[in-house]
Amino acid sequence: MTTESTTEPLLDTEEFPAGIAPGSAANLAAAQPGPERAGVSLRSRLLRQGTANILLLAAAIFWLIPLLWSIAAALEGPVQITADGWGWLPTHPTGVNFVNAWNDGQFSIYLVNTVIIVTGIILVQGVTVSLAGYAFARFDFPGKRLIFTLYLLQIMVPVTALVLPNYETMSSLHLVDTKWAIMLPYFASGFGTFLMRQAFRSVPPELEDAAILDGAAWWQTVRYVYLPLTRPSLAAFALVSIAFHWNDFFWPLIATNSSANRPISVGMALLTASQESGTQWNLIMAGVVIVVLPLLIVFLIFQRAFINSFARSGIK
Amino acid sequence: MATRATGSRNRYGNPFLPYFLLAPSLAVLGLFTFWPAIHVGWLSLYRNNLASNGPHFTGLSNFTTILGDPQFRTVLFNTVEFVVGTAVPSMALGLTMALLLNRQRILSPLYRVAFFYPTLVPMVGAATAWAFIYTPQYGLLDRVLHLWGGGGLNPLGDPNLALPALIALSIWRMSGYLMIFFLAGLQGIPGDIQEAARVDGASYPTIVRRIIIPLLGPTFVFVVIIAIVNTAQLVDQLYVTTGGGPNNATNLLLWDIYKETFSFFDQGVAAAMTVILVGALLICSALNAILLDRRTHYDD
Repeated sequence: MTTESTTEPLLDTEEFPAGIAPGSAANLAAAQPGPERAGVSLRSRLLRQGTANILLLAAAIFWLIPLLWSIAAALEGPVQITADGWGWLPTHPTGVNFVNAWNDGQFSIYLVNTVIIVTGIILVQGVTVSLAGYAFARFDFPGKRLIFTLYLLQIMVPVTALVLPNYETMSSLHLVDTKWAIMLPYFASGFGTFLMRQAFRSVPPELEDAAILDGAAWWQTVRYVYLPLTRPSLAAFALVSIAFHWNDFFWPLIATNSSANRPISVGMALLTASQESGTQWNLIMAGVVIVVLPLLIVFLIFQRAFINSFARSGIK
Repeated sequence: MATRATGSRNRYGNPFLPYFLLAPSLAVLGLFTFWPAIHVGWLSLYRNNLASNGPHFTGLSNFTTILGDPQFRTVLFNTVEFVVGTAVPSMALGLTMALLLNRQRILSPLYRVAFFYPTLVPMVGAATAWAFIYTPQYGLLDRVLHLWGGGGLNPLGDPNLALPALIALSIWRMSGYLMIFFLAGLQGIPGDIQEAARVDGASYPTIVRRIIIPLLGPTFVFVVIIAIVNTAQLVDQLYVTTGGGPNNATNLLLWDIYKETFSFFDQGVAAAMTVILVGALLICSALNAILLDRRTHYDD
């Protein structure tokens, strides 16, 4: 599923049903080489398309350069990196930088920490956003609008902006330098609540009514009626959240001060910062590649899932 | 479309059920968003640094101190420059990419991967890679400049170039992210309108200007908020590159807060700065909601 035909629309059509209407943008574009429009010659249209393609290609190459350059540097031998003759390809490819970076950077601990932290956050978020989404989607209650606004505010003023008071709170709770400190503030998500609210709203209420008639408790309704139908939204949110928390740096930096609980992003930054002299770039770039690779590989395999997830998260 | 959504909160026999459902997330939000916001407002009214021997109430003097400090004004100015300088071009690029990619092309998967992958790279990683590119002599930028007879540039060490250099890196990273949201928005625009315009002889640029962009209203509302909130708190890159220098040229608000708290131990001042940051974010969001929401027309 990694190659797609050129006539498929860019985004999954089950999730974007508007895109499969006969006159939709996708089909329209596929019909492009068709009859000429009034007043515009085929030639000028081909010219414009050709220019667009060239620009896109140039831009894509430009966008890829930092990654390619980093990989090339990581593969280069430690001595050659500052040599004058060093061009674009490694002259003496070696994997030793990766080994050194892994060890110097204590990446094994950091990787384990990151997995634990991200898994913990995602699991708890899944529960809290589903419950809250259900409440907003299917219940009327006093104060609903006010509380909803509060969730909205959380998107505007994120945890990172409030590092100072959050650090104070963690300090009072004696949780500084624990994985809990990193995870706790993220256990709720206004963003995820919105997504789930939308998802729950799109489930026909008759299903729930039928369940109630059958004597279901609320949690049974959620578990057997709603969750199966809203799984795509939950999965999309999980993917976006994983990407965010895997790469999160600032709050984890502040919340920890020893290597026991740090995630991989902080570890990599420390490795970079510790190479003050700046001539160990190949080591540093190897560290970057190690950190960057897991998510990128998963992305390459599950491209559609990733892109659809992010796109879906933007639909209000 | 099932929008007869809400029902009586009594229907499961417990009228407090919705509140129970909300309790876990509200507790977390309360503890790590609302309480901190209030708490920091409170802290900002106290003088509390190494010299003060404990907190002393001082009213608004923390604010007058920092607003009168030229260095802080530089920080504010840098932050605005960084936010606007990153958000606006990223939106423009993201929209352009989305418009171009909305048509089918053979290399579409390549373009999507190429533009979007920076989003999945942690900012510290991206900044490190770009720091290497910017390195004088053996960094990619300098090598390329040498090929063309120039060179000798040290962007991250030059007070005039440092912030633009960081902005360039941030644009590179954010454009693909925003592109995805625009793509989703574009897919929601019915093709019949575009088809009708085409039949009438409108060119693609005109179609974009008159039809697509106005219909992207809700997407713009969302994208602006995301762009501003994300860039306003983006300081990871400073940790691995300039650390706020040279000469505060790249010092941003959240970074200054970090320095005040953990290097200078001046809690009162740091709290006042946080209040300013939070206030600015809230104002931007309110403005965004009012201005853009008015102009958009939703389907429901």
